[in-house]
Amino acid sequence: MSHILSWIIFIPLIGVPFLWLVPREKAKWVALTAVIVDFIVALPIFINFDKSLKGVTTIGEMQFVERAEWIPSLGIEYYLGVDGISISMVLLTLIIGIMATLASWRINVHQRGYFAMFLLLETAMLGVFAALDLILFYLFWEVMLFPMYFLIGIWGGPGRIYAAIKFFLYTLAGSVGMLLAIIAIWYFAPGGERTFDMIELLSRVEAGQEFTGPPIFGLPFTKVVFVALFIGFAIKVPIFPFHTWLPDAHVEAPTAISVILAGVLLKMGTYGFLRMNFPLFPDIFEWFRDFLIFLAVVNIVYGALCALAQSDFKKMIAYSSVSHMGFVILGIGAATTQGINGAVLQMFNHGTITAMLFLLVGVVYDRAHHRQIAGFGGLASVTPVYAAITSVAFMAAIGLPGLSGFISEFLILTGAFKVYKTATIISGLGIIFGAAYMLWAYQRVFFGKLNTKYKELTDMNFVELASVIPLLLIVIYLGIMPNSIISYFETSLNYLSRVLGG
Amino acid sequence: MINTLPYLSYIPAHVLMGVAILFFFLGKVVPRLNQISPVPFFYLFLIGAFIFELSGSGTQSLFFDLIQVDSFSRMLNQVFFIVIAVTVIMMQYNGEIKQEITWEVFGLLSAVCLGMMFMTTSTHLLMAALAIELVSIPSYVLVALNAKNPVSREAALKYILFGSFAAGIMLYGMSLIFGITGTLEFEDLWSILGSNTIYDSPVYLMAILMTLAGMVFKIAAVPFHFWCPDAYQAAPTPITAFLSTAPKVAGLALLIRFFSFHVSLQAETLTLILSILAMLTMTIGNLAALRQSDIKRLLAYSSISHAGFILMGIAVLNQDGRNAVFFYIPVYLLMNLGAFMAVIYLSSESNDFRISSYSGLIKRVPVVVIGFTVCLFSLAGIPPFAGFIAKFYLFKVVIEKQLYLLAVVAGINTVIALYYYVNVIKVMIIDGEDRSTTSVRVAGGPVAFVTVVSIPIIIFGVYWQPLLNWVDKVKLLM
Repeated sequence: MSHILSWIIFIPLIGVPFLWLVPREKAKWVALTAVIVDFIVALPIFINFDKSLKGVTTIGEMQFVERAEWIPSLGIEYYLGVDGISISMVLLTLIIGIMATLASWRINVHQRGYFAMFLLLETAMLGVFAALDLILFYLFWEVMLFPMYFLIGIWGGPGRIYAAIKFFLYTLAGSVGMLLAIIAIWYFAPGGERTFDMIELLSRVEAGQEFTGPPIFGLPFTKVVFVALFIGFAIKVPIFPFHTWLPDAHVEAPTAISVILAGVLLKMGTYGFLRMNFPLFPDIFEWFRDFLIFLAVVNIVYGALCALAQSDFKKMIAYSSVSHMGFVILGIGAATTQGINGAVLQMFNHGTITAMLFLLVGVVYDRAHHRQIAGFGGLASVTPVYAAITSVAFMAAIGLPGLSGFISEFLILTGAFKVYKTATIISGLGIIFGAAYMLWAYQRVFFGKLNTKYKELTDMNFVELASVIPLLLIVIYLGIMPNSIISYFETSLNYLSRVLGG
Repeated sequence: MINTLPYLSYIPAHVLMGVAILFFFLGKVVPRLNQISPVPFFYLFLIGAFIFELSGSGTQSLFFDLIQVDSFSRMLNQVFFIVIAVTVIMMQYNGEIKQEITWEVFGLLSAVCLGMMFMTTSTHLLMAALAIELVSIPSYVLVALNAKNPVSREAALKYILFGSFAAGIMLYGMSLIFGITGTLEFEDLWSILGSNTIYDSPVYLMAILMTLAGMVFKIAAVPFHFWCPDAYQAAPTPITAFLSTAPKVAGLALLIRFFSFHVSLQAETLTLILSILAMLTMTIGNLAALRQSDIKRLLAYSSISHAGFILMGIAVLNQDGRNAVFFYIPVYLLMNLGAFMAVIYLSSESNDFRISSYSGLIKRVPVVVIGFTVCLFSLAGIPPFAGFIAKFYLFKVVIEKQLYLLAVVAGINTVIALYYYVNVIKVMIIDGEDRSTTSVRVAGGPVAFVTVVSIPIIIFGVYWQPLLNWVDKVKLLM
């Protein structure tokens, strides 16, 4: 039994003490080394991953499994493993981790503290995607909170304190309900024998065994537990009406943290839906589906309209995230094979594209020290490289064919159209609005008369290019060869789609 | 003929009683005795008592079945000795009461400790009432110890009034119980109260509720919590740390032993009463804590809300619930004592306990601030700190018992509590410049303590099997 997943998860954490062994200004090199080593160590799992195993609810089909007793009296285990759904997210986390480290290059206060929190966050995120024990999952999930609080609260913008505490409280509120749900799932486990083993629980549910819990507050047990879990994950996604923490957090967070937030953290919510929330309660999912689709459409349209109304560059992208995550929900809600494959592809693509957008906003913010869209103008003439790269990123976000965003949105819409025609058509509006706010913003920033204040603006430097170019290449590559990532998760997701009755 | 020999077998209690009388007497009659520090002598006796407690084994009923010495009481008494030892360390580093550390103070501490030992051992309401008084009366004096602080006398008086009031109600309840059952012995009184004729009658409820008052007063649960913030704020900080931990544990131990004898017929009503108490305590404690600007008052209200959380474990009235409480106790002691030690360190010179005075302290004393932060996150119940695991066990037993409303209220309270704990962290770490003008004295002891405390908080947060083993030993055998 290899320990490769443990290494992947804990290499960033191992890097933390080394931050204090080097001069403060060199701390970023330690962090960069840690995330790059982590990526290299992780390569074998992407090469050796057996794409024919479906995982999801099937015992014995998780890969690179590690199991050890942890707290025997409750049956809590240190249990890691990946299947198609999680491996794509691990890949995303590793890539975004490197890019976000590069984006942190200009952090110039308390570097050690910053990178310590950053690496801890990286460990927690990787842990969430690899954990197969409910308690282990929950611990990793919660360990993300306080590094994030400090990262936003200490290194963020002027309104950082409010944004940080709001993020903290919202997420905690969701996860407390989730904890209660996890305990209830454990205690009233289907089949009677209690376990925190997610795969075991899922396979029992699939075999037709039922939760033994009596009604809660007069409502069916499974419904209440489902909703408690759902809210916990929905806050993270974020799904309307729990989305209000997101724009605040994004606007105040330093660039690198916005990148992590949009690139990885939001995916945890939808990952939670796919990993346990929906497959554990397929009947309730059926009951909940229409409402979920409604929420997805609200997310898409409302997010896009809000983005259209923003004057702050970063806030606009934050709301565009709300809109794009709505597509993920739409695909999952449709639960058809295309829909659900498209949803996970969209999770990956949104991770890379939005990360790129936030990196690009960071570039201009570092130079101009403001983000008002209307405050720029004509930047294309002074920073041509920046303008060119931004245009590709914007096109990807709009969903232009040839770039990765198109494939996933197309898959989702095709998948959803089969089951929810009206909803899909309304969601199409979201794409149109998306084109509108993106192009309009682009026009105001890069075209028109050059704002003379920014005559001396320098173009992107090497580190900035290094953080954006790889993502750009991924976006273009996946636009042409989407199958190279889809092949990782399609077996799992086709199967999950059957479980969910899509 | 009564064989007196068994009564001597509870040696630790005799040791502490001896210390209490001896130190008090010596301090009064020997002139200039206070030039000799009482601390080493006190430690000597404390270690002696600890060793006796450690070496004891088996279960014995003593003093005509008024108390029962068993593994439950032994484990908790060891905890008291440790807490008292820590309190004494804190007193060394505290600026407020340098002059007042006299032999008498140690006599008082020993008396409190003796009272707490009787609280954990008593199996008879009369003994319980006496034990509560034995803890309370020296505590009143300890609260007033801070001669420099003009409000400390007022707070002590408030404490006395509430204490007497609660004791009075308890005695009235006991007299009702005695009237109904003819006994005050836990096991007998519950079985007689459980008979169908009395069960759920108004007088039964009144008797139980009133008797509860005295015990609830000791853990500062609602509605007997009003003394707590004032007393905690006015008392010298080491005494605050002590009062917020040890007597609370003693009160919980008494509640646990008292309710463990209930008969199943009564369970539903008792669970209802205790869960309402728990919900009120945690909610009122938390909401009040939100508005505090003084760190000691904040920690006082936080300790009230923690009492509410712990009551959840008692409310389920089963072994799992008791185990969850036993799990919570050492964790609570670690994080609360750690937090108070940090407060003592950070405020020792300035004597300024406003939270705002901690602004930007991370720059000057990073180690203590990080340790304090760990304690506060743990108090808030955030993983990977031990406070989360302790809370997890409480949630677990409550859900097992299907007390969903209680679970939801506790969940909401966890979120509320996060706000005020994080606010302190924010002031220390995030808020801009170091605004306090006074210097923080560099003292090794508290720094070491806060650091040492925060390490197990993290370790138990990820691997808590050692604590489970401890819980197994405490287990109250029926």
